[in-house]
Amino acid sequence: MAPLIEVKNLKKFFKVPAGTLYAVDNVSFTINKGETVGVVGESGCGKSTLGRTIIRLLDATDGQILLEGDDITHVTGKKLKAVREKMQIIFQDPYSSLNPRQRIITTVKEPLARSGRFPRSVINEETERLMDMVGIDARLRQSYPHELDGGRRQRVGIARALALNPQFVVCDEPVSSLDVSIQAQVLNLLMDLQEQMGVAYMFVTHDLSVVRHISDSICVMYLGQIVEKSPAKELFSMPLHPYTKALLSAIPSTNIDEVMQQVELKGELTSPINPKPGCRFAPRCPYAREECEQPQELQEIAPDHFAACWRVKEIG
Amino acid sequence: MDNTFLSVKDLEVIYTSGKKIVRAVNGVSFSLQRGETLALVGETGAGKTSIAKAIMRILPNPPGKIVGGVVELEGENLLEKSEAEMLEIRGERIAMIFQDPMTALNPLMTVGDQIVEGLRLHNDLTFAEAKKRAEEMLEQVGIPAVRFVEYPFEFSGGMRQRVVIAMALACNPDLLLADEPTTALDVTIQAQVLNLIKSLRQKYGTSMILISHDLGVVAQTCDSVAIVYAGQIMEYGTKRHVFKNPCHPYTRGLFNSLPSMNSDSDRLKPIEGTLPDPTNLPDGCPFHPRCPRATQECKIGVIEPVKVEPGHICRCIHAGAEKSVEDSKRIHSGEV
Amino acid sequence: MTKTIVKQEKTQIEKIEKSSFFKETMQRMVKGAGAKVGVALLAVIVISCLLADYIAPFSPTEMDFTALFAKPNARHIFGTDGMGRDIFSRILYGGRYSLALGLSASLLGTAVGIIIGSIAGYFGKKVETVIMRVMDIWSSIPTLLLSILIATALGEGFFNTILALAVGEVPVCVRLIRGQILKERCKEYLEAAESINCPKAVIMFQHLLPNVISPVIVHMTMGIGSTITMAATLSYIGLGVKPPTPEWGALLSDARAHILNYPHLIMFPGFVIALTVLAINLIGDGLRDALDPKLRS
Repeated sequence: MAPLIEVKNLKKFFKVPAGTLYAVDNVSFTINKGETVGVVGESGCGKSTLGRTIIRLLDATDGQILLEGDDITHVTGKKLKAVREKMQIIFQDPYSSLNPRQRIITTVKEPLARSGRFPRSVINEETERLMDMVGIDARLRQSYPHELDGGRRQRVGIARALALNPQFVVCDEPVSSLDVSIQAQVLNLLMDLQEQMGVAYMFVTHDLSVVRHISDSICVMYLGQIVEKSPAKELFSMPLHPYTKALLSAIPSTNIDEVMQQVELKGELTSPINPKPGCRFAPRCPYAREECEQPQELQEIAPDHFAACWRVKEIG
Repeated sequence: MDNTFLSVKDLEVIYTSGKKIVRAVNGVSFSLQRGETLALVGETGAGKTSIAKAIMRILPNPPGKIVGGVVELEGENLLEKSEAEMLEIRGERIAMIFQDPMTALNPLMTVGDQIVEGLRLHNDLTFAEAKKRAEEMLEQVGIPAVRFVEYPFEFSGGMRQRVVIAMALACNPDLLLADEPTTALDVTIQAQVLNLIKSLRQKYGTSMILISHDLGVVAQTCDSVAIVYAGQIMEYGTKRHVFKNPCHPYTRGLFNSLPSMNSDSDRLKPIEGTLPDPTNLPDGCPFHPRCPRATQECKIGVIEPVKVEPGHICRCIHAGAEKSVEDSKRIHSGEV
Repeated sequence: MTKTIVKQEKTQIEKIEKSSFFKETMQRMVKGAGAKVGVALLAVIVISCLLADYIAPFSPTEMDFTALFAKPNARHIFGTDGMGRDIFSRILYGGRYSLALGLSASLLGTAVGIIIGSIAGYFGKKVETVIMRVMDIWSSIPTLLLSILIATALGEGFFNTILALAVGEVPVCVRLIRGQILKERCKEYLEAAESINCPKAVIMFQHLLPNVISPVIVHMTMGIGSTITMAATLSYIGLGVKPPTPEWGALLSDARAHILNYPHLIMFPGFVIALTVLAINLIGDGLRDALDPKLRS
């Protein structure tokens, strides 16, 4: 059986005044039905662009996106409409992702109405059901977004995304702007809904503890490329790529007895504009050698555990 | 004689908007030893930033106003100082680092000039002397001195925050107020900046109040911790007290809300409900509508802080020491 | 018992939804004190002008040679002009032209500007470049000259005058709308709308426009006053409305020559124009606030 989503050598470049920005460069991975794939990386690594390209909010520069085996990379018109009903997105910022001049009930209703498949009575019933499902009280349903707190707004965004019962949802940092106590509520909600509806998530975030909690497998991105791909728990117990190691070591632990063993990285993210061939992490990597100037391929080190670093076995 | 350097007593701050009054800070008291680092931990709107701005006397007035309390820096009450005296104190004795490094810098001035300006305001230096000192500071925060003449937009986010730190520490202040200094930064950059602050503090013996919502950052940088909720300190103690023996249900709720890096539990245990409306705080304990242990007594009157153990204070009537330890175990093991 | 409550709640919700956006906005608008005054003021002015046949004591062109340049008195409450015509009557009759001209020209100019500006701002890239360069050329021609050109080319007539007056509004409005859209267009709710299959036109006019329109409304209400005086300029140089039709701007320009000796000639028409502009501004402010759910109490 074909996986739900298959991304093959996907590229998304942007023309900018200084040259070409390699936002997503040769990324391949698959997502199965009902599974959660986490995508982690720092700001500017292309993780949000990747999500938006897969669900066709952006057009791919090169490569292929398959949905249940069908190539949807360039579909248009009615087919695109059908595809979008199967793939949805939950945004990072619950403040800018809702139209401030629209009542939240209208926002949740909109995808149902736009699909043109349901009579009015069904739309109204469905809207109420969705609101119940994400836990928005009846008395709040006529509110405008600014009258709600961040957590509730994010619930509205979730209801909108799940309205048409999609098979795949890109969650673009859905909890990173929420307070800790609210963040946990929303994460639980997302996991419950996945269990009920069998939806697959691509969970884009910079928060490693969140991604570990929610994902089945994780892709680590650096400047547009996947540098490591692994089952979720294994990534934390056995990180392979030097970048992953540095990233994990930089998370401040809440255990006060744990002395942090940081891999201090030199410098900051280099520019994704006109990058040199070869490993993009090399300029900051403590293990860099001359050979790193050659392009790196993902290689399977352990079952289902890939890393794009030629020295990975040495470093251990 | 004790070595108390800064002491804040019963600080109260309100904001007025129209007829509504927001009680942002409601009787906050804490003290800081020389060289100590205190963390103010809390969620959005808890009043952390208001506390810092009140100490610095930079609350925007109106709408903000300090309506009560004492802020003593080495025995002098800052709230009674004139604006002219505060100008001397700000920058020289107390400096602040803000969350957003872009808005904290003037986009039309080179970073060097901005550091020099602060230096010359507080010290009797010629431009050349100040420039030399500014270049030293840039080097100290890991920025080559040649970048003295560059503008803020030429720096990345992490670099800008380093510039802000260089500016804050240029006059060698006694107290550093850091308001979410790393929240806007990536985790690897955050680690660099935190290390930088730590090493510079040790070098100059600066005390620090760190405002953060990130318990991990707090665990790795601070000596003592105050958990703030709805403008009150709910729990206050050394890092060990608060992290190893959290007594207040809110503190415990915060810890339980965090996805663990080590355990494999499937569901998180969030705090139910939402943050209270600051214009309409509940009577009694402000946390009672969300609290799993709330009883009738929690809903009335003022909840006084209870001393759980020496130096560990908790504003909860149910914070009997032994019981709470048991509860905490139960909560951690998922029985409640 | 609970069932009936639920039912009640449901019908209530349906009621809220059924009340149209327009109706709701209007209801909210008249709640504001400023808007109330504005609506009342404008209503008085408009109704008096419409009922000029009944209210006005004289015909606008009737000359009273016994009272040339009369100061305000019991017979002529606003006085008379150099030909003995009653100014109060002329203001009432003139209001019909001026209000209609000012309002429709501003509305037309703004509407066209909003459409072009939205297209430029939302689509961006080449479309935007072309539109904006055209607007640059458009606005580099002095407004008055442009109006004269159009009035001359189209000839006389009420609608042609409206067109001539509206052209000056367009480029300003386009710029304003486009600037607002540039700020708004990166917001995620627009992407969300796209992801749920909203057609581009729906995204533009239903999602984007309500969020960027406030400054345009303010601009438009401010513009009505200057449009009225611009109409006067046109008629002064023999385009637009012909004398002796008593149009407000014409009243002002006629009075100019006598401003030192007979200030009442310019004072009363000027006062009425100011009052009208004030009323429209108040309504505009009220409308802007009513459109913004954040200012809802």
